[in-house]
Amino acid sequence: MAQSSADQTLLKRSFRRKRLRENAAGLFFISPWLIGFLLLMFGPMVFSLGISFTEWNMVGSPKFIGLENYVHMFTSDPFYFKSMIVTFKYVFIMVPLQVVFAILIAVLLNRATYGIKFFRSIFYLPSLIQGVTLALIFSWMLNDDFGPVNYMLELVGLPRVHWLTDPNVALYALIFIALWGVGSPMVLYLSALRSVSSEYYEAADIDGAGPVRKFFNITIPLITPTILFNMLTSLISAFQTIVLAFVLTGGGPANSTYFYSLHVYRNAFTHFKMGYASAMAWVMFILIVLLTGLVLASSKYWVHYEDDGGGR
Amino acid sequence: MSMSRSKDNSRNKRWFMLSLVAALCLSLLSACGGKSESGANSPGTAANGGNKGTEGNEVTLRFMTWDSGQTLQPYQNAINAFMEKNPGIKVKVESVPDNYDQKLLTSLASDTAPDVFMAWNYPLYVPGGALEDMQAWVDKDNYDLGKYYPILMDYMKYDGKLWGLPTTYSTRAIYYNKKLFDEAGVPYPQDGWKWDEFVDTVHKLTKPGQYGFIMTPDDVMTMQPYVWSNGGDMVSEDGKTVEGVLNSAENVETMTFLKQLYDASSKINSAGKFSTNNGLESFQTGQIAMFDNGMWPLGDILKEGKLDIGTVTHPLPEGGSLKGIIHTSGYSMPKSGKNKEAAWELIKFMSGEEGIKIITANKFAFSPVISVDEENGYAADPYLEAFAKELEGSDKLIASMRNEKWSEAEDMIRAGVQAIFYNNADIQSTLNDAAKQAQAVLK
Repeated sequence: MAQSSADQTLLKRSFRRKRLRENAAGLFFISPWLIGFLLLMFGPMVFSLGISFTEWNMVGSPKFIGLENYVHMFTSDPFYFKSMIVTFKYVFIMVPLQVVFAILIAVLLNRATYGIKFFRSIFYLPSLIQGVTLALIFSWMLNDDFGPVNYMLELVGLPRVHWLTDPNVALYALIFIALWGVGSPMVLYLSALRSVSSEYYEAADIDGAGPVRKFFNITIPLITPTILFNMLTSLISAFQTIVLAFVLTGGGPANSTYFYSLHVYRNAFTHFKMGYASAMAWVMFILIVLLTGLVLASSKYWVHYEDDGGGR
Repeated sequence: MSMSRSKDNSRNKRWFMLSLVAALCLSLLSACGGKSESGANSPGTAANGGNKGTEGNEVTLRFMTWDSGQTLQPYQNAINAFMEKNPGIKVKVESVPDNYDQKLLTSLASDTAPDVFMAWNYPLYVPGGALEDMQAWVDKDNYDLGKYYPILMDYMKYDGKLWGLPTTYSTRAIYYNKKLFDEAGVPYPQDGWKWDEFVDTVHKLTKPGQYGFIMTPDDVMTMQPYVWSNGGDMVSEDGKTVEGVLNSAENVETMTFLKQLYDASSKINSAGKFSTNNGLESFQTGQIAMFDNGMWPLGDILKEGKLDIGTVTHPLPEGGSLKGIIHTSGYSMPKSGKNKEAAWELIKFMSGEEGIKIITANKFAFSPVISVDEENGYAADPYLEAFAKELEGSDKLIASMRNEKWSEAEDMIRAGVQAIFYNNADIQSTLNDAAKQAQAVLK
C-alpha cells in the first residue's frame, strides 16, 4: 500500500520532471525570440506606456499630464475616429478578400496538372516583393497618365481611373495592392490542402457528394486551423499597415487613406507629440489584443482539429 | 549494454544538437548586440576622437545637414576652404537627407548632437532647451549682424532669442515652359500679373495630358504668398490667434481664387502626388506648363538645357502687393557641445562673406549677406530677377515660425482646404470651422 503510493509520487514527480523538461526545450527553442523581445522590445514598450501619460517632444524632460492624452483622442482630436474608420475599412475588406483569394488560388494549384510546379512558383513569386519596393512598383503601375494599368484600361475603351489620387478610389487601390502579397498565405493553404487525406474524398465519392459539397464539407473544415492562423496574422498586420499608404499616398487624398498608424507616425515624428503618439499606439495594441482574443474565442465554433479525438 | 549505448548515443546526439542551437542563438545575439552597441557608440567614438584631438591641439567637428549629393557640394566646398584656413580644425560632414528633425531631436535628447547643424524649424527645437543661445557668441566677438537681410534674421529667432546664423535663402516664384506657351499661342506672363490672368492662362494651357498648373490642397505652406498679398494671414503675428485671422473676408477671397485655380488646372490629379517639390518631374517632362518652386532646381534645368523656361513673380490680386515666402535655415550648435569655440569659428566662416561666396557660387542660392548678394548680381539675372523681387516686399514670417504647434494646426487647415477643393464645401463656413479647430490646438 505504502509502496504503491510512493510509486505514485515517484511517477508523478518523474512526470512533472518530464513536463518541465519539455517546457524547457520549448522555451529554449523560442529563446532567440524571447531574449530579443525582452532586450529590444519589452523595455521600449514599458517606456512608451510611461510616456503615454506625459507630454514630451523628445528634447527636454517629459511632463506628467495623467490621462489627458487618452481623453484628448476620444474627445477633441478631429482625425482620431476618421483614421480609425479608414483602418477598420481596410482591415475588414482586405482580410476576408485575402483569405478567399488565397484559398481559391491554392485550390487551383492543388491539382496534378502538367507543369503545376511552374504555376505554383509563378503564383508565389509576386509575394516576394514587399514593402517599399512593392509600393514603388505600383506607384508607376497606377500612375494617372503613363501607368500601364490606365493604358490597358484605355485600350479596351474604359476611362482612366485616378487610382491613387481620387479620394473615393485610393483606399481600394491600396487594398488591391496589398492583395499582391496573397502568395504567402496561399502557400500555407496549399500545404494544408495537400495534407487532407484522400480517404475523406473517396468516402464522399462513394456517398455521391459533388465537388462543391466536397469543398465546403470536407476541404474547408479540414483547413480551418490554417484559416485561423492566417486570419490572425493578417488581421494583426493589417491593423498596423503603414508602408503602402506612407509611400504611395501619404494618407491622402483628402485623408482617405489616413490610417491609424499614419496618425500615430504623424503625431510622433511631424508634431513630435511622443506622449500622445504612445497613448494612441497603446490603444491600438489593446484593440488588437481584444480582436485577436475574440477571433480565438470564436474559433472553437468553427475550427476543427483533426487530431482532436472527439473534440474538447 | 548495446541498448544503453544506443540510448547514450541518442542523448549525445541530442546534446550536440542543443549545443549547436545554443551556439547559433548566441552568435545571433552577439551579432545583434554588437550592431546596436556600435550604433550607440558611433557618435561617442567621434566625440572621443574630438577630445583626443584637443589634446594634440586638433579638433574634429561634426557638421550635420539635410543636403546630400549635388546640393551638399557647395557646403562641402566652403568646409574644405575652412579646413585649409584652420589646420587645427577638422570637419566631418554628416548628411541626413531623410527624417532630419527626428535624427536631430534624438541626438539632442541624448547629448550626442553634432557640433554644428543646419536647422530651420526653431520653434520645434528651442522649447526643449537643448540649443545654444547664439547671442552670447555674437556679443563676445562683436559680430556684425547688420550685414544680413533683417527679414532673414527674424527666421533665426524664436521666443525673442537668437538661435542661429543664416545659411542661404531662396524665395519662390513661378516657372513657365515657353514652348507650351508658344504652342497654345499664349503670351508669356509678366511680373505684376493679376490673379484673373493667372487663372485664364492656366485654363488655356490645360488640355488632355497637359496641365497649366498644379494646385494641391495639401501644401498649405506655399499658399501663404497668395494669402499675404491679399492683405490676409493664417495666424496673428504672435502666433497665438487663428480665429478671426484665418477666416477673414480677405482669406475667403483668396481661397475662392485658389479654388478657381484648382478647378482650372489639374483637379484630382494633383492630390498626393505633387507636393512641394514633386511637380518638378512633371514640369521637366512638359506635362505642366507652370510650377511654383524655389530657385534650387533652376541650375539643373539650365544646365540640362532641354527646356526653354522663364520665371515670373506670383500673380497678385487687384490692389495687392507682392509678399514672397522665404525658405531659409541657420547654423546652430547644441548647448551640450564640447567644442563650442571651434564650432563658432566654423559657423562664422560658413555664414560670413567668405563661406557664403563659395556656397552661393553658380546660382546655387541667394546670399543672406547683403553685400555678397549684391556682388553676385543674381537680382539682375533674367531667371533670378523674379525671385529677388519676391524678397523685396516680404515682411512676414511663415506661420510655422510663429508657433511651435503650427504643424498640427496646419493639419486642421489642410483638411478644410481639401474639403473646399474636393467637395466644393462652402468656403466661409469651412474656414470658420478650420480656424476653430486650429485655435484649439494652439490654445
